[in-house]
Amino acid sequence: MFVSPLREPLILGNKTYKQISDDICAPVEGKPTTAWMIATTLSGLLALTGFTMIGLTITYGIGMWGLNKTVGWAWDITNFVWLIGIGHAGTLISAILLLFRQKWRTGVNRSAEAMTIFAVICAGLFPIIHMGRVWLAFFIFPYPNTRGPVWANFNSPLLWDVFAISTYFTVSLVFWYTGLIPDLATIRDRATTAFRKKIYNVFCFGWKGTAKNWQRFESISLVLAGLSTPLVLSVHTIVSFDFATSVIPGWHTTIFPPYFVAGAIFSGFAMVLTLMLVVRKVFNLEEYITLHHIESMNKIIILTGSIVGVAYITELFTAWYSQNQYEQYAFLNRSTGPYWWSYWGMMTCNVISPQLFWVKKLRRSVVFTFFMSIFINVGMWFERFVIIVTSTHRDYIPSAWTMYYPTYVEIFIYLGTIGLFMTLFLIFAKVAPVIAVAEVKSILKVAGDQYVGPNATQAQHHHDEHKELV
Amino acid sequence: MAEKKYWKGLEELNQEPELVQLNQLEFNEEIPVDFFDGKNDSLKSNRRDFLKMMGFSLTAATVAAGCEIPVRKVAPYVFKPEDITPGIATWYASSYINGGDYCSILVKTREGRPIKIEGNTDSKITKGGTSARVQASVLSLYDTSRLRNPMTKGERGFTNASWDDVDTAITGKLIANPNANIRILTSTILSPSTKKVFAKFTEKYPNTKVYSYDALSYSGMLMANMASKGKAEIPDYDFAKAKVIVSIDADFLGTWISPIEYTKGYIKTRKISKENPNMSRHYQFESRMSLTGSNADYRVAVLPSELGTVALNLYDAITGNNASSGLKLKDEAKQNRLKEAAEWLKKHRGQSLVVSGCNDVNVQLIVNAINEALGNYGKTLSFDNSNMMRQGIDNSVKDLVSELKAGQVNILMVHDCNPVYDHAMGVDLAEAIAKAEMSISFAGNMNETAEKCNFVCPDHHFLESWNDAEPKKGYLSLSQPTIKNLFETRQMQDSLLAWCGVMTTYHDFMMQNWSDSVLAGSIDKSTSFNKALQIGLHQPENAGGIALAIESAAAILAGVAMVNNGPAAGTDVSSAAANISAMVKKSTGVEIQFYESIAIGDGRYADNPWLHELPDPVSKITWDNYLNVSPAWARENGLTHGDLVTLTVNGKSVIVPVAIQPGQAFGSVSIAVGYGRTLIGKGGEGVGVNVYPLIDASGDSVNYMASGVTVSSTGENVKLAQTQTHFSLNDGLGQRRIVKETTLEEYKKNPLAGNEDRAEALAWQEITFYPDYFGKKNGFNWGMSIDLNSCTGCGACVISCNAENNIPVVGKKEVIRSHEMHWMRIDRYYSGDPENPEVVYQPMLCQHCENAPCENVCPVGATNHSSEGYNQMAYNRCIGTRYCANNCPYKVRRFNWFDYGAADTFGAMNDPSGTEDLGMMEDLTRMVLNPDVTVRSRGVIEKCSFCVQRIQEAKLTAKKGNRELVDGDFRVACQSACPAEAITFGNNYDETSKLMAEAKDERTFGILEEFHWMPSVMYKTKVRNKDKADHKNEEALDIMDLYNYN
Repeated sequence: MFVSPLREPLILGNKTYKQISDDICAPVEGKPTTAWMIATTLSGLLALTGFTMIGLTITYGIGMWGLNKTVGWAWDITNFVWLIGIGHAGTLISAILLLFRQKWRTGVNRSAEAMTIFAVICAGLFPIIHMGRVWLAFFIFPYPNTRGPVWANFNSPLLWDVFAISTYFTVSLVFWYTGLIPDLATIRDRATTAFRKKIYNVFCFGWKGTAKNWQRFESISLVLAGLSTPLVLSVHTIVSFDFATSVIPGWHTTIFPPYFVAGAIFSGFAMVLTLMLVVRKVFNLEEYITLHHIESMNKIIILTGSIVGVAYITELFTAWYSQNQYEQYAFLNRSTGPYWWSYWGMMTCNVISPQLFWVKKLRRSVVFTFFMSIFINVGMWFERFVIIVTSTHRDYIPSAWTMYYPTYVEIFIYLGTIGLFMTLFLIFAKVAPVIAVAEVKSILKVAGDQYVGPNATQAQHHHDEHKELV
Repeated sequence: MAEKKYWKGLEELNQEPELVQLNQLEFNEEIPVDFFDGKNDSLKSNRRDFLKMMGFSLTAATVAAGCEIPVRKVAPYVFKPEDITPGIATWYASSYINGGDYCSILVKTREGRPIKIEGNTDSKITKGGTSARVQASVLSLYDTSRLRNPMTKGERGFTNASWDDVDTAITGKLIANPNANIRILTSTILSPSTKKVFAKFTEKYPNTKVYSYDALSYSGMLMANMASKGKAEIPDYDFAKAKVIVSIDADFLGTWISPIEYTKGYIKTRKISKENPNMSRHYQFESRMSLTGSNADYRVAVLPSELGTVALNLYDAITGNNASSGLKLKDEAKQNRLKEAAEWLKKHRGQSLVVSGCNDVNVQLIVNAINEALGNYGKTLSFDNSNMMRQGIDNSVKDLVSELKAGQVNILMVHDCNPVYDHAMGVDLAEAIAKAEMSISFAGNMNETAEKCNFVCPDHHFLESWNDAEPKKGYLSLSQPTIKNLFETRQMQDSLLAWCGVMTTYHDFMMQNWSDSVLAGSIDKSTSFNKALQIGLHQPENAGGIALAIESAAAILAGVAMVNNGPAAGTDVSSAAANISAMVKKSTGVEIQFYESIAIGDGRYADNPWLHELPDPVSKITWDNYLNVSPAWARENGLTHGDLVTLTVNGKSVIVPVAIQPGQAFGSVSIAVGYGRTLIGKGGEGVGVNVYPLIDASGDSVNYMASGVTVSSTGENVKLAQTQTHFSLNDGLGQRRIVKETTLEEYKKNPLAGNEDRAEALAWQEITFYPDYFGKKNGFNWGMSIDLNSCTGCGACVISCNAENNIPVVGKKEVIRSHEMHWMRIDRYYSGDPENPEVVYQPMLCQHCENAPCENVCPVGATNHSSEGYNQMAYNRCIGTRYCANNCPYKVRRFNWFDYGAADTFGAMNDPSGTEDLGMMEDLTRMVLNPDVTVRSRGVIEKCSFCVQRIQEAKLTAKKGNRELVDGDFRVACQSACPAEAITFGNNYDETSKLMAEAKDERTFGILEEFHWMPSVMYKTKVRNKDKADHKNEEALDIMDLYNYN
């Protein structure tokens, strides 16, 4: 007789609603731990260093970076694309997995969406600071003026970026924040001091928790999910157009939109894993972010990693098939030229490593997943570096070929954004629950749960349920 | 049992009506209703508050906006000077005279100050061409290190003085002893009137002698000509008449005697067309890769000591003698090439030219004999109008030093030369100067020699001076001031006249001299002079048919003792041959050659940042001199590009960086003089290493070559500021069709040779979604054509563009980081054998693509296409995202990485670039800026604009003149500077224009045309006059491992 396999429980430990609230809100309600203080201070200092470097750049000029006449973009745009890409996981988890009714998303969606917001904030710094004349950045906007009127150039992918990224940020922020409201209300209701109650009340807009509230909450989640879903695909497509619409060999290719989107989700999930594996350990939330969650995310990593791998191979095939000398040279240079180490690093980290997740044991190993997620992010950073720098530093006219080396200013701006990201995330983890309390509660009860009888798993909690409905 | 009732309070229990009602509501509290439903009493005060806030913020904004930007006043002329209309340039004809360097020029002045130099097309010598040095010379007028007043040396060094003080002191000394031994040391003097001033001075002080020397000497040639032809003069070479040119280390296109003139002549034999597919055949035998050698059809790399052997073997092959006595080139292939050259020479007797740049009397004697045997005298070279540009005799300085040491000199005057720095006996001279009772320098900048003198009486800059020149016998040229002297300087001639009691100014003196000699037969001398002054020239067969007596400078010289040592006439071929053999036998080990670089010359241009930043045409290195070594020799000795080595020559050592130079003869090295100047001012301090002390001047003539040289690595490596680090068009996958070449024999068979793929590239352009998008322009469609056969790579266009368009200088540090700002660059590609490669030059500038990749991608629309067919750049709109620079396939866009232009966005910034230290941003230096062109701020992209300011100016001039703009009304900066006439600029819609004629030529192609960017700049294929079998343009050099920059 065929027995359907039981789905792994998404919440371990036979939790009650109260326990869920207690477990998840505990880090928010307690005093900041020493570990948190140290971590926040360090990342804050790093962020501050980054801002100082940005200050130097704006004061003296882009010459503080290692860019030159041939390589106009390098670490700045690599970091930009890398950070935006990372953000895509959050949106996918919140939006697409919601539409696909994947319940396991509830364990990670809050943090993932927070990660998206912070990644987009950090990413958004780069298009601004990489401008030679930042103080005139408002020229980008099509505002009415008396000079012509002078208008922004809508043919330019950079302008599409402006609208794409700002839309993405706005929608993600709204989505994340609306989801956060019931959880902030939970904290407000559990607050012990009047001050805390007041603050959280302001931030949750006085959420009452009535049925009407919840009904509106559900519909707006669906609407925003509907809005965000195309964004997952479109935003990184637009970012890929920065390169795809240019004429430089290595940039000029139609494969970039799906390649970039797949890569974005790939790196995003890796970053989610990096964060979540630490968070679940530090905050003792292993029962909410279970091995099943980790395994599910790893499966997405195999999928998107494979797409990325196929895309790399396709690029090589296209170079050969095109019989275009410049295109062929671009790839010959990538694999055997002076930046060969970044290309092979990228290949190893992005193509080979995710394939290891076919092995179930590795998929479900926390330690392995953690290291793999770091590799993947490193690999994805190298992918953007390879695309940007190896393509521009040697393009059509050999007399213009140069090398590019980053300066300490660029390196510290990058580390500074990582510091900023970590600082924001740490603050978020302190003031808001890292898991969507309300949504997790909504998946607590599973059809097939037995409350009475010999298989009762929930029986002992039967009476407790009435005590706490919040 | 009754149902158990639960209640929370008595109200509930009693079912009080309020409670019941309350229970029906969802919320306990009153829900705040619409703000604007009028029920809220506080609404009125809120509106008032709102208006108060609005009023306040409006006032605040007005106050803030009313804060004034400081007003800068521009004062208009009350009485407008006749010649000056602000906004319109005034042009003066003048002559560029710097030592023996000469060019006839037109000086563009704006609001009373010179800002640009163009060639004077009326000149029969330079014919409108200029060189990099000529173009850059306008900047040296505004050098912040120029001396601003005379100086006297006291106990504590130099103090400022007035002319009266100085004159009193000097005249007093002179009058006290009129028979004192006075020595005037000068470089070549081209000016007959100056020589007359010397004569006048000598009248009063009879023991005056004038010694002239050239730091880079031609005295060997002068002495050889004295021996062969009885004239210590350089002949007039006419390259235009030469069908075969054999050059034995003469860099006649770059630095030899009169490169502008020779380029003009040379290219006449290099421009070809279907109708006239004839080219000269040019052989070059040299040890270093010179500019001329890189342009030759066949180049043979030989050791410096073998140059004499080459001359002897050529002589033997042509005359049938055996002067070489078995002396041959070691390499058989090279010897065969030599024989081939001789065969070609024999086939073109009277239509060939053999020239040599060796400063060795013996070699020059043999060369003279060869030209004689070929019957070239009177045809391709002649003494009818000898070239006067180098007159210095090497023994002069030796004689002077011995006189000084013996205490025989009472008064020494030094003019327009710097022997303490640039002569091998400089150290001796420095000590010996102290022995003279009084020493006077006329240097305009403090230099190593002036520093040793008692008085410095600074001369005017040539742009501030009255002068005349006789660059070739019978051809006179005038110099006039284009600006009142900026500082309290005085012309050397005026100083001398004052000191010998003559009360006229040099200007009047010169006019009198002309009146007496040149214009002696003229009826209206004043008008004749003004006519000459207006075009800056007085040349044979001109001045409207009036026969004018022309007195050459030699006659004017009579009376002035110009010391002239040399062998007596009659020294012949066999003794020369013997000397050469002896020299060859003595040469062992590594050999070295000292040469002058195109930019810096003998060192007098070392204060000019434009020239320092000009990439050397062959090596593309800036801000340095370096030891050129061949790739194979570097491999053998474990050297890489940039290694610091200790170079020991004739017992003296310096530490210099190594540069890998394909084409440098194996076993020889070369290095440029003119660097390592001190006391030079911000623009040149500490640039390069001074190698003059290594030169052997003990013989009859200065020997710029030596053997037995040691080169040992110090173990350190430095970065050389090289603008081009990759030089092969073959990337391993095949030849990139960026430069197209062919050979003459193939071209004769098929004019499309080398350019066969153009049809296919053009066919690709038919495939477009937008066939009508690139439509008709507004009457003009500007375009350019560059002939690769004419371009010699000299770099005049680069400097001209820099001067015209206010392009900032960035300095060595920034050039190393690939931040140089040149809008026009000359790409140089090698192919073939690393030890003797083929070289091609390709000027690269913005291609002004119709379908420009850069225009689409600017987010703010700062770069777009004009209705007249060129790409525009709106600096004010650019926010500096650099997408356009990334997307440019030709990589011609330049970004202002730091505040190079001193636009000072945030006030004075000491950014880490070090650019400010170059002194280019001082108020004085900024006087050279062209007011028609914006100075770009930091963070903005710039690129070639097709000199849009000149286009506009020409259109306006035509409009004011009520006529159409015609082809040739104006020329863009690069086009007008080019001595080789390689650049044609014009209107593609004008069927009569020269540009259209070029466009129809089969040799025309656009770079990367198949990509449908539709460049407006076309190039014409390079045709080499060599055998197809010898044409190696597709072979890449495998030497990148010797460079340290990947």
